[in-house]
Amino acid sequence: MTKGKIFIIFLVALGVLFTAGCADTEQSEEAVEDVIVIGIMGPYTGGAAAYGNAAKDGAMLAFDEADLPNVRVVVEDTKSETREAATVMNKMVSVDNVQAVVGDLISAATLAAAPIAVQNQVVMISPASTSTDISDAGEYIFRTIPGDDGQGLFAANAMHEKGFTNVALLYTNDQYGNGLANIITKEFTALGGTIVADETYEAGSSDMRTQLSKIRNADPDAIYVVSNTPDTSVALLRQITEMNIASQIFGSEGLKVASILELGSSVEGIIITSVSPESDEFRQKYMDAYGEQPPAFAAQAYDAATAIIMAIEQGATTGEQIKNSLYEMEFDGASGHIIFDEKGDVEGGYVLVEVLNGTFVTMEE
Amino acid sequence: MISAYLSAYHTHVLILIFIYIILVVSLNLALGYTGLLNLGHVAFFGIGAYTSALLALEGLTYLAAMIAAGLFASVFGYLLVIATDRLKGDYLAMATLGFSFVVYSLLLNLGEITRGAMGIPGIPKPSILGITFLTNDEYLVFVFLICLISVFIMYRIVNSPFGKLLEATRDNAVCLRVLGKNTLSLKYKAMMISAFFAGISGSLYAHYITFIDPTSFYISELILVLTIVIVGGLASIKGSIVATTVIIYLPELLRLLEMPSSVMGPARQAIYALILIAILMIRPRGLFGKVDLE
Repeated sequence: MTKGKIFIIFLVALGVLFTAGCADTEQSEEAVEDVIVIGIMGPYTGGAAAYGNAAKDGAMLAFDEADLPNVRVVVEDTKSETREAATVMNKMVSVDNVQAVVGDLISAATLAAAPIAVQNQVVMISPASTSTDISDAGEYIFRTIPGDDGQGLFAANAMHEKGFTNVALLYTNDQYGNGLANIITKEFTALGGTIVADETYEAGSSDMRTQLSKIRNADPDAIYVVSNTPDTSVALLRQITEMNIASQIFGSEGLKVASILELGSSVEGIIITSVSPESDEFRQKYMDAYGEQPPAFAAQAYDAATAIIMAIEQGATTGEQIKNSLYEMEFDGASGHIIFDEKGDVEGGYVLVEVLNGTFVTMEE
Repeated sequence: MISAYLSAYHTHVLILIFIYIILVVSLNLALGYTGLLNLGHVAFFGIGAYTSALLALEGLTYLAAMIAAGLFASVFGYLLVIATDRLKGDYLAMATLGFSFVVYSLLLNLGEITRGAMGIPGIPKPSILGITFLTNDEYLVFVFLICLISVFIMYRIVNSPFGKLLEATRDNAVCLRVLGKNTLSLKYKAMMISAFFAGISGSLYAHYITFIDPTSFYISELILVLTIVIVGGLASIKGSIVATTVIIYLPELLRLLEMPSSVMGPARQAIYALILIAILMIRPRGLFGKVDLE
């Protein structure tokens, strides 16, 4: 009885394998014609899924708008895991025959997929990976978001200009948090300020009371908080209020999510360092298409897709041609003025965003 | 040559399967054959990966770095048994799970050595006797050979008189002690061999993906490896090999299902989970399992 069942399961699995195999070859034959395949990869499951979906929607918006007849888009989930990212990149390169990819978001995933892209001459444009290591990942690796050094320098200078001298740092013990904290520490001390507390928490944790009480004891004028998951941001801000910490709160990009506004009056006055806001035109387009404000990274993904589309419109068909075209192009994108330097990075601009009356308001210079 | 039959993608999946076969069979050696409920195996995998990557970046030749990775992981296997030698069953599981956390924290916080959360990019591809395994095809041949050798050695071990003693330790340690056997020494040996091969597979992994960070060697990885051992069946090398192939390959097959991109990620994971549950409902001891753990 059980043996029979197993046999049936294996038969079904085999069937799936065969049909899938057939579909597979048909597709690749088609691809040999003159269809250019573009990949979109990112986390659509797991803790960073909200960002992944936003980036995917942003990029799809650009492809839908351009509606190029010779472009086909494939989407794959990388779950923010390095192994998955390498698998997806291998699949996109050899099965789908992609020439360019929008993704990944998480720096670690981008770094794991990058060598495969470089080896196969496929362009990668990340809309969200900010690790400084990505600059040196290869000539095929681009990004439409400035690296950590950009936000770190901006944050340190902003806190200095606002007259804060004793600052505490609270950040996730991951690639993003450490990268940002290192740069802020270096720059802020150089400006004459003092980092009075330097605390980390594990990604995904929701209880930061120990770290916060150490920070409270250090009595800082301001706290700079780095968080890149919405749940953690909410938990963290709630605990800061509960513990009656009166210092000015500064936050990184990831705090600019709608869910923190639900905390009401306690988050009023929080200042977030954020990449320059998306253009009004893009915000309108995004609202029309998806019925909500564009979340973080949607505009950057839109620009990454736009850059690839522009390269194709200029006649590029292979990864190598797209790469060459990217180094020469310059345009006003949804996230700002896009021009790639010799490492494939964009300079980007930052602004301070304050929470005022329950919304995010960009502060004037 | 191989690429005439398989795309680089399928080669990639095969490479992962061979790397995980070494990792899973080595865990089965401790968990299935010796009955050590070890939840720290993924830490050995990480230690191997980091050791090998760091040594190779310092200029050590690949083969030496790989052996060093195995040996270093093995040393940690020894230390883990020293720390837990009085524990059994659930308690051993908890303590070894703690070991996973400790190693993860060390990798994360020894920033000076491991670059902490930033991870290590640019790990060189292995090079032996002047041949560098750059492409997936070349790496596949290399990994296949290492996997074959490793599994053969472990197969010989579990089928030797020594292997029977390991199984006896699992089934009735008291009886074995009455017969004058040193069960503690058997535990040490089993754990060290198991850790050695986990270290080797970590090395193969690091030099294949060329980027590692602490999150690659944490809970989700541990769950994956344990799932494979349990689905394959305890104390069955054949089961481990079949289960590794099925569990690594299944999500890739699911990629080929046409689905709208909005539900794709979650839907695939749900189907994947259902299939695993189905397997364990039909075969509660796993595909080829011979024993139950208490």
